Amino acid sequence: MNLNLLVEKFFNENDYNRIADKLVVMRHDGINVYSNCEDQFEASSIGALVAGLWQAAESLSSLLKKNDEFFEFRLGFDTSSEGLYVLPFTIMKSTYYVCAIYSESNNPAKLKRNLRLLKDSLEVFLSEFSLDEEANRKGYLFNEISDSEMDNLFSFGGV
Amino acid sequence: MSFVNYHTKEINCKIVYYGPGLGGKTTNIQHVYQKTSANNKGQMVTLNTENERTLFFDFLPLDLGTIRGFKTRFHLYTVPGQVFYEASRKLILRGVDGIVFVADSQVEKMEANIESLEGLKKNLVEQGHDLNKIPIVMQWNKRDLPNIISEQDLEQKLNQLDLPSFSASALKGDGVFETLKTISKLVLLNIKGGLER
Repeated sequence: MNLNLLVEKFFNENDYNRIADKLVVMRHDGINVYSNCEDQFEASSIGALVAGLWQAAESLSSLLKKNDEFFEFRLGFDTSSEGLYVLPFTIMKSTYYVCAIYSESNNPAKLKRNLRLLKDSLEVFLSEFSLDEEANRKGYLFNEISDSEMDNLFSFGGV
Repeated sequence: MSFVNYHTKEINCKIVYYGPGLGGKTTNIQHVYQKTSANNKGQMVTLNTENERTLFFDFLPLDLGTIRGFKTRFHLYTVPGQVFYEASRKLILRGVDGIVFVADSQVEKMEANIESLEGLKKNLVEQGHDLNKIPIVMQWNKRDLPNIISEQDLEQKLNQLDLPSFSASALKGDGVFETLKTISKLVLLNIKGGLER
């Protein structure tokens, strides 16, 4: 099954996309799987920044003494009414993040709790489908690309 | 790692500009940003120090257009060149699809070029990449400056893998798009296909 489609279905059919002003689900390398942002370039920037932020925090966390593997980390950057909140989750052994960006929230603690519950539901929902994408990759997408095709790609300017 | 979405017919790829400090990595993607129409690009994200040196990374999402029905989105990143940001460079290389190594052509920078290139090779191998398989393009930058090493010497000392290479002056824009075009083609050709349709 197509991961992007499934995640989109999960959020839109249940109106979960309204949980925060901006909601982005991304892979560990920052490429987005889903977002409720109208501006997809903005969503790309969120994906890149959040993945970088998480990776940096994760590297720092290696300095901690992790006594209990049961608890997983979450990442927050907030004031009493606005901020961002990031949670990791795993699909087919790959790590993904869900990030909520919110403002003018009367109850950020509730929003964070809802996001944690939503993340758990998403994990359960996706676990019901076969998403073994890597195993299905065969050969190359393009065997050759002509110079004119590349010229077309770069026809917006520059060259 | 590249991501092909057959549902939306989209290809996402990550290209990292790597090289020694003050070599012109940020200038490369600034030029791309300046010369690209608003419809094809997002905001350029820069995480800088106070004196405008790259602290973590620069990021530019770029929609190049369509190839055989697939929309192509390239995510351009730069790494911080300064030696003590090694940990950040490793993070940014995660999931990379192609690399532009931006070498500084000035004579006095040769040692820094070699050190940075060795660091790149080490980091790629650490992350499980095969140096003979991952697309890499070399760029000999700052060719407009006076005290520069010959291209022949740069090839001999930095390009033992015989990778595609380009002369450039990123500040003037020379060679910037030629480099990007070549790494983009290599990355597209390297994408594994056959995902669920």
